[in-house]
Amino acid sequence: MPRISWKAAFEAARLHPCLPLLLRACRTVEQAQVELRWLLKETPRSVRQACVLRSRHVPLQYVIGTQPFGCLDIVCRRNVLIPRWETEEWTTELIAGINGSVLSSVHGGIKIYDLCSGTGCVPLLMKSQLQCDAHFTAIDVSRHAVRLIRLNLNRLFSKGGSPADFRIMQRDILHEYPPIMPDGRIDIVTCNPPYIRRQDFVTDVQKSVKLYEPKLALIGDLEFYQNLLDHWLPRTDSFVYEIGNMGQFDFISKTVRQDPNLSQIWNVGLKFDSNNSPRCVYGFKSENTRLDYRKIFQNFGNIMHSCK
Amino acid sequence: MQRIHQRWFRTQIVPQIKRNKLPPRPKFTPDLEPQCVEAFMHGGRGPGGQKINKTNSKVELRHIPTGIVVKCQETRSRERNRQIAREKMAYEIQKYNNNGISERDISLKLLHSQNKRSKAKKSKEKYAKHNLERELMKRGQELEDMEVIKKMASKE
Repeated sequence: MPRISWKAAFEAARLHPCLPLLLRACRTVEQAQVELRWLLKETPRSVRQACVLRSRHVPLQYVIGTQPFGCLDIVCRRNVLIPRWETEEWTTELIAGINGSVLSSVHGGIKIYDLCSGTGCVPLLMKSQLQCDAHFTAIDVSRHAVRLIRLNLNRLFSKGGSPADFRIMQRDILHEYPPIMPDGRIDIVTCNPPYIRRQDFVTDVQKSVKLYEPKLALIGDLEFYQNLLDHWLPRTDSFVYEIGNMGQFDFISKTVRQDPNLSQIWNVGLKFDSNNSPRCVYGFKSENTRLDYRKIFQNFGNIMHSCK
Repeated sequence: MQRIHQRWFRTQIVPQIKRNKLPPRPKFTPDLEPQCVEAFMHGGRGPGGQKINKTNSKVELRHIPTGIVVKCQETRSRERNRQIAREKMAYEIQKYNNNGISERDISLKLLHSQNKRSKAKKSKEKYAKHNLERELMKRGQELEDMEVIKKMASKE
């Protein structure tokens, strides 16, 4: 990373006394000005204090306390991963797909599981936007995350007590025995698992993420995708998992393709984000399902493996 | 309704502009949507996803038939920025269709100068009134003084 030139620092200081502090995290004066504008508008503490925190690379969302996610404002706290724009993007597209094809009178409502929920942003946005009846289950290992999901849920949908169609569970989906047994079939499993490989963590990851966001929610490779194949595939009709690199997609698609049973019933697709990086692996069954998944995932991504 | 002012020396109609009766802001109609291309600027290539915590929420909207480009980064929410970009775009398109003139802008400018004028008028009136009062008081005091002096002179 190039050093900040003293010229830039002086220019920033002339514009606002706190601006040079932001330069350390933002790198350019324009970006720092944008952030300062947001801080002036939204920070709960003094602007100077907020800028000092930012100069120590504390993420902006922890300083301000919230992160917009779709039309919602999600509360963010230390020890819980901040929702990313990539997640926001695929969640909105998934919601558009469901709203465009599922009738509002689905018998009993659709059942959605969100694993590695973090702030609970994905099911919360779905709850606020889906036009059909739906039951949500958010699962996370971390007690901080579970507490935050409850807080966000109560903050956003607190009218008349906590909603009955939203379950929150603190479980370890990888190691818990006996594993979680959902009652009946799940319609959609969504998950944003930790997917940064340990060797990439040192080189690729931004400083503020490295210093302040929980490693539990960041570092991982194939274990959650293995868990998907072993545990969730037999219990669900479709899934959407966020990925960090093509290796994780190849792992899923290869396993499905080589398995004689799975390859007959599952379609697997890949979705790119608007920065043209592979971002999601998704899959659905095309027979014996309640919903028309082919229509839901029509504009979602490209199907890479199609069952016969 | 426009109020009409008539002055005695010439018959000139001065339309008054009211804050709540400005020409409306142009609306972004649904049929403009297919003519526009939307792009989200996340700032270059490199790693993404959980590795980077980008706060950049810039939205760029391009209207293909006219080639107008509008950018928006007012808020942290991309949803809100998209709405604001559409409002800006509607304004730009109306201006383009009207040879670079926006009626609302002109009215706002007139309103501004009108407010300024009325403010100046009010302050002028106020000063005139105060000056008059001061003058009267001065004169009254002078009269009082004269009377006192007269009384003293008559006593002696």
